[in-house]
Amino acid sequence: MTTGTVEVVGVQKRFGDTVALEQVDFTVAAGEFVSLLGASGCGKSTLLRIVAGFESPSSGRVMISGRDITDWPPHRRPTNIVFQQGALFPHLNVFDNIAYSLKLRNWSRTRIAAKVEEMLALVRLDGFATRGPTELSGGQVQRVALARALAAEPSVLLLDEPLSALDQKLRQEMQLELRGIQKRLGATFVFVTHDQTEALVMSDRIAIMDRGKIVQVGTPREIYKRPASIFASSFIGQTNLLPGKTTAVAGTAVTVAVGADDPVEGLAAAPLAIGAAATLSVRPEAVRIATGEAAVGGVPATLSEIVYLGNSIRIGAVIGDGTLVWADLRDEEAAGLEIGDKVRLTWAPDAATVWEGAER
Amino acid sequence: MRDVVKGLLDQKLNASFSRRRFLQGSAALTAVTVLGSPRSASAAELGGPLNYFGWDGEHGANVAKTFLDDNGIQLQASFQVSGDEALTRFNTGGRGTIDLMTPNKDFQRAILESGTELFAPLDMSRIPNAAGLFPAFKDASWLTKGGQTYGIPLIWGDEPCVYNPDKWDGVPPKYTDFADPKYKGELVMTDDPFGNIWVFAKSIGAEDPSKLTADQLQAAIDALLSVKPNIVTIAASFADMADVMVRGDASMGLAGWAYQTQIAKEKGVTLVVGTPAVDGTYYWEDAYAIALDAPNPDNAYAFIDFMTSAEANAAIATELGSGCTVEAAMPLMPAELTSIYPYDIVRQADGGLLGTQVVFPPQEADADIVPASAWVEAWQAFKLS
Amino acid sequence: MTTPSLGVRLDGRRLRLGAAARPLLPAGAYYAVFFAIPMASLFVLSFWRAKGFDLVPDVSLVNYEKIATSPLYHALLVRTVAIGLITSLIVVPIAFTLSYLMRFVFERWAQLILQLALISLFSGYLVRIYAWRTILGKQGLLNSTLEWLGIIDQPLEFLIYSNFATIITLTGLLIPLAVLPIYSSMANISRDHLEVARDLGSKRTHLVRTILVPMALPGIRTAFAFSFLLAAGDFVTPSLVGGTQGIMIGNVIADQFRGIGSNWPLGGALAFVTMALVLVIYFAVIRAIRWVTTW
Repeated sequence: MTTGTVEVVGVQKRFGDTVALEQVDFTVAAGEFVSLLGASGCGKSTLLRIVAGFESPSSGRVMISGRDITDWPPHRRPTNIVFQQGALFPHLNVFDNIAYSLKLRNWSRTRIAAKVEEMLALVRLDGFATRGPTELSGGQVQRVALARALAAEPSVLLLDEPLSALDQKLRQEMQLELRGIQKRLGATFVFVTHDQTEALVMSDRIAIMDRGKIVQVGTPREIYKRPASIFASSFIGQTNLLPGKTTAVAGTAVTVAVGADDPVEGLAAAPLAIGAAATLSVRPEAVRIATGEAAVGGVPATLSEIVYLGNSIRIGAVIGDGTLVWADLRDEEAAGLEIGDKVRLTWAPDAATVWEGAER
Repeated sequence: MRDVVKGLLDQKLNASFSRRRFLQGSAALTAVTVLGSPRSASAAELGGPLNYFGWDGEHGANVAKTFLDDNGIQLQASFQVSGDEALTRFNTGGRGTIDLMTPNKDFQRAILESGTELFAPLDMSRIPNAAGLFPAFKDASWLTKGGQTYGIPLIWGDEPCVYNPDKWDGVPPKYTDFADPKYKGELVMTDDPFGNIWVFAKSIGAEDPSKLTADQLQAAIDALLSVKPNIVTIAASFADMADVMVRGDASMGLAGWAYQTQIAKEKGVTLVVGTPAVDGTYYWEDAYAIALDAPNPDNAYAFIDFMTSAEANAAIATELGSGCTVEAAMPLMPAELTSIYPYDIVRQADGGLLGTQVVFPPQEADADIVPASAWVEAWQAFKLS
Repeated sequence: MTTPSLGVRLDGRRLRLGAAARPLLPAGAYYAVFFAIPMASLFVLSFWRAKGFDLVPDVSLVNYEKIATSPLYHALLVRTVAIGLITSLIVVPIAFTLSYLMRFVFERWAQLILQLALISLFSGYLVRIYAWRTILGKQGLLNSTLEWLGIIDQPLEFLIYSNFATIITLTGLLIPLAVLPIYSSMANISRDHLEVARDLGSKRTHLVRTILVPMALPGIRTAFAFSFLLAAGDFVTPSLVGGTQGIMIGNVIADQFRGIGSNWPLGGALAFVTMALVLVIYFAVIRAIRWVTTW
């Protein structure tokens, strides 16, 4: 049923003089939950709409389950879309909304009734068949929208920020539910969002997009641990970005002088030139604080912030060039630290990634 | 009857077609603005409001402007839509608020004969200019009763056919001749029950076309129906009828108004008048009258006297494209306007046809003579058939 | 006594207005004074009789009998309703299409088009009717162009002073008016709705029938009401361009209120008979629209 594959090959999209999508190549395997993640304007929705058929690419092809559907209009494509605002038909009740695509196909009344019931059960809205859209809460609206899209038995389900309009708590619940439905159906979902936590929670793979290009595709863990660019690393999770200069290179291990010319180690994402400017990214949870005379190695810093986060303490320390570096410590690790303390910040070399230059 | 038609003229069309507009482009305009205002002997008593309820155009707002200003009179004019509206208003609370009215001769005759209270007898010593009226208009039978005069005529005219000389050499001798298929798609007339039925009643030989039996009425309607297939449209007003002919949608207008030739001329189209030789046509006249219990009689008298001066009468007759009622006014008017009307009839003491001809049917049925309401219904049926 | 949802309640003989009904008071008063009372008086008047210049108060059905027994009036009513319906059945789809284009295709031009529509509504009604004489006349724009193109030798006479002219003129007058409510109710239809529907398999006529029309229904209803009722009731247009066979009930009603030979009671009776007929047809058509759009 909903187990198609998606292949986007060399897709470009121009609106007049603006380039919305530069060369995009991208695949989704059957049964995968893939998120397109990026800030507003990065082109993720445009890409989704091209797959759905609401825009045609300026060049490139789109394949669903091996069939080239680039020139097909939306109603012919084996894809269905769920929008951020749900867009339920206000003049039809829940049953008729869900049954909309089925009546178009001239299904028999019994078959339609059975399918609608099945969908309602899937989204846990049994008994809501006769309700009108105005009688539904935000989360229920989205569930009906989902049911409506799935009822049509598409090969691929496309979701354009469907949870962005919901409040935080509901959103988190729906994220899990959505993921659960996808797994239960074994369906292929392509999901667009600007919320990186959402992407991390739900996806099998994430494609990060920036200014019309896919900058990295990988599992949540890969993206988090090994971001492919400064942009990727700062987009997913929190990170410290330390500007510096490459001083030594040994394969992928590099030494970078940061702060007040203090050497630290990290792994280079791509080959770096010695002497060139570089940026080192290290996540707060990987930074350790060493105090006292015995402290050696790492970067000297002065403690400037102590923030209590409930299950951890976030320490901010300013290094030699004025950059503020954050470290997340457990309660006991942070005991005794005070603002103004002179400390040394250290981390395991493979917890830091280094890129050339200071640009994203 | 000209009433209804006039009413439609004012009611149906916006300002560009009101008779005010006739003033524009007319050479008479200069004459009007140059008019002096004779100070009446009792100038000290004049001033204040003057309430007019009559036809739009006959209140002389342009012609009497300097007169009104010099005497401090504010003319408050409301316009009637039909001839009998003044009576309706008078009876429904207007009595005591109206000074001036402009009844046409048939309406005035009907009111005076029936003894209905509406018009005040006039003190002719206060209207010295009335001495200058044409013989027909002094003591005319429709203006007087029991030795008292009730109206001072201001304009008069007839209802000729108006046609395009390029298409037609003249008008046929009888109105019933218009049923000839050669007129198909060429005729236009106005939505006037009284005038139209009158001329066709005359055409089928009625002795007094204003007094018809039910059979005669039906015969007149049948005559009209025989012409109907040739009629392009029944116009809402004289100006509308002229418009149809100017555009070339029709070329022969029945029971029109001489002034339509002027309208057409301004638009660069030539139309001429003509009257069926055998049937002839009818004449109308409008007069100033003062209502009973008028609140400002002094102003009303002064106004009427002023308007009856040669210059004022010439001005208003020219402005309204009609015949004048004051002898000395005639030479002051453009020759092309005075040549249209047969002034001979107004030089006769009894008014000639003007006096004998009644266009209006009686209000009440009289033996087998049907009342006006029957005419209206018959006309309706004609329109609907 | 329980208070019904309008918040109006009868206690013994006094009318009590609950809070829910109070906001209705200004509009209610306006309608009472300018609509309900005049209508009621006209209704009472329709049972009176006219005699010469006078009105005779009475409770008589003579006027209604006259209407019921006159084949001329019957034909007149049929023609009036036919012209009204034909006009509205042309106006509403055109206005609907125009609104759709303004809302979803030429969005940047929508404001401009709306303003043009409003300007045309404010411009003289009579002027616009006369403009059609210029277009449809024997020597008018259309005939001249067709003759110049050699398509015809003689001017087409049916173009003006005919029911055709009445319908065309009324259509031109009413389209701007009909666009306004339909366009405004289309504001409720978001592009998402259309895209989802297309995504689920709908297109063209199905999309119009199942999504566009039902969602714009309030506006369509209003537009139909405007165009049908105004077209059926118009008398100036048929008077100026309708010709001798184009008289509509409005002309006859207007005649009853004019000067000599006026018959206000008959006018009132004609008005109410027309109103009843037109309302019955109006509701029938609305029902039909709803039936067509639900499946």
